[in-house]
Amino acid sequence: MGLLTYITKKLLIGIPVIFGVTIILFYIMYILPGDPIQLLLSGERVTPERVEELRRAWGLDQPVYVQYFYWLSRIIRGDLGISIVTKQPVSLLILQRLPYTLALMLTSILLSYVIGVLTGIITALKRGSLLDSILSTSSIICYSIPGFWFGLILMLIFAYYLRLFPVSGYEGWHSLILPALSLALPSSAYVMRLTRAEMIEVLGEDYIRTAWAKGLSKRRVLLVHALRNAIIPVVTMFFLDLPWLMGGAVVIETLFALPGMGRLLYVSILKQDYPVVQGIVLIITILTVVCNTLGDVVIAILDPRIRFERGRSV
Amino acid sequence: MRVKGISSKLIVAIVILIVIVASVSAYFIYTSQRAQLGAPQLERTLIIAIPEEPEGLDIQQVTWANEVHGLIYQPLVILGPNMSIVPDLAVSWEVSEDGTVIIFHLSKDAKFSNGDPLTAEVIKKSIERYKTISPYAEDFADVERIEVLDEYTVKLILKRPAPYLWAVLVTVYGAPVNANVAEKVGDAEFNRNPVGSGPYKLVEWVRGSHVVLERNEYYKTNIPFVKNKGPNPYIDKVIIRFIPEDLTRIAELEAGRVHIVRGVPLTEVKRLKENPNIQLYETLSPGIHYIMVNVLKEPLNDVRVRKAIMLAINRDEIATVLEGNVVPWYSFLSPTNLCFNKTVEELAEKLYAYNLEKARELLKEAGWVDTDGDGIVDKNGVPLKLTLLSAVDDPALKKAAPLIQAHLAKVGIAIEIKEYTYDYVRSLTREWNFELALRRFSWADPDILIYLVHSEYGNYTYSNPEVDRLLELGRGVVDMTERTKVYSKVQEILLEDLPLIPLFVLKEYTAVNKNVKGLIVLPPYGDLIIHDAWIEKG
Repeated sequence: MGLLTYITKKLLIGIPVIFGVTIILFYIMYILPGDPIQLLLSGERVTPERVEELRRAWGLDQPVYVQYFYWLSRIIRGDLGISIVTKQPVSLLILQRLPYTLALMLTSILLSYVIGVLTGIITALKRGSLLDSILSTSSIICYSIPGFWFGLILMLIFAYYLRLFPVSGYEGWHSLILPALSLALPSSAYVMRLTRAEMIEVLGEDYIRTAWAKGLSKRRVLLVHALRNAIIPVVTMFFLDLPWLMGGAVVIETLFALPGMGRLLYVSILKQDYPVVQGIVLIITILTVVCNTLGDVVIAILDPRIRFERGRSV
Repeated sequence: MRVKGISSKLIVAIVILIVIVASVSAYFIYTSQRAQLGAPQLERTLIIAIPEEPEGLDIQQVTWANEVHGLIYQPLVILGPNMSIVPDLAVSWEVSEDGTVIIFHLSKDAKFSNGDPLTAEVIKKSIERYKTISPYAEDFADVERIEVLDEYTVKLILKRPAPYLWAVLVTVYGAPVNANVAEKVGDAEFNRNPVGSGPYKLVEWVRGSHVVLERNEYYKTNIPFVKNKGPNPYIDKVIIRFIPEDLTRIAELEAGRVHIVRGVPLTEVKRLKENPNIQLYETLSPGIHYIMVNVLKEPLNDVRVRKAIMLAINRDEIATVLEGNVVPWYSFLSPTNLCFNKTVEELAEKLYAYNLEKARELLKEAGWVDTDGDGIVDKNGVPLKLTLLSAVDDPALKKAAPLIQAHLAKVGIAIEIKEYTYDYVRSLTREWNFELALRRFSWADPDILIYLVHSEYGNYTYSNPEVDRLLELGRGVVDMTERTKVYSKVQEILLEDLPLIPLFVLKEYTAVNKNVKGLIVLPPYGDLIIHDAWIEKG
């Protein structure tokens, strides 16, 4: 079974997942208390007739399944619809915001893997030392602390007192450092624990002992023989982490007033602007499916055994 | 082991190197950018931070207005510091004896920010556009037709006298838009890129982040209390940033990166007052925070129970807990509402000053006594338990709810608090699906009451033909003294019926860096008048 067929198959499995998610989400938005028009006309000087008129205009008086199929038929034609609140095309709103979110996610995932993998390797090699205890303890602390709290503390120290970075807003790539770091720290702790555990396990394997016995250089043993095998679960995590970071981005982008998609999602949920919420969730779901597939592919490349085993069972 | 030691040292060295290189380069890039943006910007650019991004910039399409609209548009008239109507875009105006004709005179060189002449013709077109596309089109419902007398004179002919119309005209909602441009580019584009005649014009709107406004060189105003009637020579640019998180907004102000902050959280007021670099401007909200009562529901349909609730609430304690950021209130209009009558508030306070004895008596009279000794009054075996809807997103109401619960417990009324978002609480009350609900309103004209207690306009539970009649009458009384009498009468009836239980009037704050001089924060809405403002280099 070729790699290409494998990828295609994986992506096809993703399609029902995407539909499932949008159906569930549509229903959740529907059963949420209130509706977007009520929320929109927040002034008192408005008559109930006006509210009804607008609800009809947006098709909100229709049963939920009619609304869903209406939405679906537009999606299939590649139209994400119009935002109820801003009356702008949803695709435009998302495109304006997506680059910031992708930049934030990539920066933070790079930070978290650089920090996580390096400290993971160090603590594995120095197992039982003082350095190991310090790093391991602080990783547990980092993992337990929510990102927004890190965000506030980093903001206080580096932006408010030291004035090294802007407090909030986007003024260039340096604006991404603090938010990316607050997203990265909790997840780097997890990467570190994983790397450490895998390294320790691999270092105890027979073939590593053989490699040492063959008299290979230390670098070769650690990087080629040990790390390559220890890193596989970590790589899987990398791709599973990407969409997961989106959840953190909602909070962090709001805290740091970054014009990203997470903040757009947050605002749109509050206003029940369901075309925007649906649009963003659709993108996140697609992103998740693609990332999962990519993760599988990379593993298949790193470890050819997996491809054949999965290939048969799928 | 020896080999391992060398390698980990190497890795540690690499990590340290990366960290050092990254932070040094970040620092240099940041300082170089600060140097570029820094010095001249601090003096010539005013930076304002507000919590929410506007949904659109066409004042005739949006459902709420904020500081961005306030700077882009220019109303014909505005409310002056003493709540009297003063000219802004209009030079002068006349109202006919019977109140059905309003004539505005414009200055001959009035222009929109794109240089188009602002004539009577455009004003006519603009109001007609409002009547077709605004969600608040009812604002101008009583304007039957608009006549252009000459290029600089426009005449509004009303179906009936409509003094409440002034409450719209004094806000940005009543400001003319360049309807010709709107027609040419389409409503969607005009909502992104509008043309008004306010002191600043839109240059750039970075979604989710900020708008950049630039001085409108054609700007001209007739506001009597500002010295500078043209474009402000000291402030070239205004940047309005959207910062949703309260703490971030305040941190930006304290870090000196923002000059003005709107939406100051109540919890920060005390601390900001102590900050020597920051000045707080205080305005009283034009409206009250109150409990809306479902007057159709047992046992709240008994006015004695409503009066007992009114008497049992200790408003002074609420004010203390809210750190003095609210004023205890007993009547239905605040001092910054038009037609406010001090004697009504005094009467209300006399009638309903905190009095547990009187409250208990009223409950007893209504048949509610604690027979089983559980601390809750009961009648025919049913204990008096009520649900109070509170709003998580309104800090003042959220804090008041448990206090009210404690106060009412003292007279034997058990309150269960249910918290939702404010908008959802409002929609539950609109569906009559509630018992007690914490609500608020903020609108300068007393006509707002028609949407709350008139049996048809607002369609809430309360209905009283006399109140309906007076509220309909009140819309049409031109003479302010007469009009005040009408709304005083309305309030006196409401004080007897209590469909709403007033709680307090909120103080609203604008936090400003002290290097901003000459700023006016205008009641009742706290509009920023920056005509005479300048920013000293900080």
